[in-house]
Amino acid sequence: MKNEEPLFPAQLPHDIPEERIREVLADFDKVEWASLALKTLNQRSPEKGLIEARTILKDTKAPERIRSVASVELGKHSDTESEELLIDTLKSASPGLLKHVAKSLGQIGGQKALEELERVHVPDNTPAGVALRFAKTLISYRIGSNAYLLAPGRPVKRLEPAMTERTNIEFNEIGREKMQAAMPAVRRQLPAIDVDLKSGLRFMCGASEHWVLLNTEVAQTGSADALRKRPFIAGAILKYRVCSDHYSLDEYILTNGSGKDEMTLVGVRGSGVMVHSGVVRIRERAARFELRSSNPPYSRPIDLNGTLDTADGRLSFSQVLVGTSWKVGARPSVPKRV
Amino acid sequence: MKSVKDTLNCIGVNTNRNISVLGELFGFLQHRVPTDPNPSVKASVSVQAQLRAMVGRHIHLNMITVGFDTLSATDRQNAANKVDYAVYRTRNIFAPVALGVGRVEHYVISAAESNGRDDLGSEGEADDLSDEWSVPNNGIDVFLVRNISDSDYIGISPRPGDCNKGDKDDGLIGGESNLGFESFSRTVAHELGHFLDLSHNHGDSCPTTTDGQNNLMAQCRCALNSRTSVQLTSSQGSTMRDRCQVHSGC
Repeated sequence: MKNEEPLFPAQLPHDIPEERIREVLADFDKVEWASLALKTLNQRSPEKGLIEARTILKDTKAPERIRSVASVELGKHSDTESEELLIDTLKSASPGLLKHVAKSLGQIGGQKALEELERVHVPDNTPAGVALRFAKTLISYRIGSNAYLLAPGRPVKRLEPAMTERTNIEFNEIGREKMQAAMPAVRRQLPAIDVDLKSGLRFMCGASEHWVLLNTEVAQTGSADALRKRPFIAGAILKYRVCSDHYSLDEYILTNGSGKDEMTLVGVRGSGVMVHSGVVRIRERAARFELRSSNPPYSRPIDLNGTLDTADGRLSFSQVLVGTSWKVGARPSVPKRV
Repeated sequence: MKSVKDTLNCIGVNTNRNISVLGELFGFLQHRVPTDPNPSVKASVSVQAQLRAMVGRHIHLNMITVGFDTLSATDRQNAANKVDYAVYRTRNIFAPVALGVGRVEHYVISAAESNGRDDLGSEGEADDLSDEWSVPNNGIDVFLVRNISDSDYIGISPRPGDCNKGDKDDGLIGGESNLGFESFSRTVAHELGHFLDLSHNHGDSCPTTTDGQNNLMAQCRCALNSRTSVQLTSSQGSTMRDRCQVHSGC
């Protein structure tokens, strides 16, 4: 074993010059290092990282591992060039790369991306197939198409007193200053969603601080009617990550817009795993929502009622109970012991 | 101090079978002392020191590799060496603050079983992985994945980890197989630090002192060196030893 690490650890120490990072990045023979160099550049300067990521993704001879890093990075920047490049990559991507390309397109793509995703066929039960399906779903909600909406059909469990102890969750304002400081990281998580700065709330779940953020198109419409008319990515829940020291996507909040006064509400992770479901009822300018079903083991049991006043984008909650653990329901799988 | 057999029984190792001291007492997957990546340093272990460490507070670990089956034979061997080196290093990093590493069990999730979680593209997928899998024992689940394609993290852990196994936030992602030996080991130990309620030792700006940069809880972007930036203060040790996942002495 050669001791090369002091020269190139996990992410480069802060004092290693950018020139050296670029040297390492250009050497695909040492793909582990090149991949770490791209990650480092992305962290130090997302703008410079984006330019490199585009170059690498265009290079079909670059190793899959580093093109995967590049495609994930492109999914954090909502712009036409990134979208076009991801669409081009769809056609020739291996299954491992396709998973990331599809996910990124789901995060930033529009109608054209949706059409291109429809042309790709891989088995539904593979990681790439799951990512493709969810990318189409996410774009559908974002552009207001009914093509790939989710229905609450998965096994879900209601919060029952016998199942678990329950704790009350309190919501508090995030504060404009704190939210603005976090916006660069928030935009990377929700690149194609215009987040409403006014309506965000924070809450603690387990040991982690979470933020619930609303889409401006939903929060400040002045009438809840918009929700009735079309599907929406109504908002998202972000979770504070201690190690990366930022808020990252926990789940999207999706509404189905059935044309009627009552519609489906689902909470779904970025991977497409549905974690919560409930209903929204439209009452003039207010949208009343309830969330009572959770999908173990991804979520704790929950019983939540609240209202969104679309005149001022204010969210309020009349009840939020969260179970501390599941006493019944799906348990995590047990890995094989060596 | 107890005998090897009594200590193994105390930490939950079944001794009614053939036992390897390097496998069961030290938790090395390959039942041998790992090779130090620095050719001028010979790694070594002491049975007496390990028995003494088990008299004090200690943790148990479940090292769970995810998707290593798709690595080439050479990379797979390298990855196994890294896992053993991480166990060795974590024990040595925690020892100065009187926190032992006791029983270490090894588990595998194949790439096919992982449903694509062997190559993580977001922090959310890391949550999916630790939600979907859990070892029902009193060890901390440390997931080690084949690849992480997201630039935003190299490891991830709740702070602190949940006390009840099978609950949310009961495991951590200790890193990816691509990292070098020292970085891989430091990431495992660093994430365990978070799991045991340690925060970073700095804010947005990196520490300005050498001691600060050499602390285990400095983010890797701030650490001076992945081999030597592994120090812990007595206060950090005290925080870790008080956590619910830490077991009383044998």
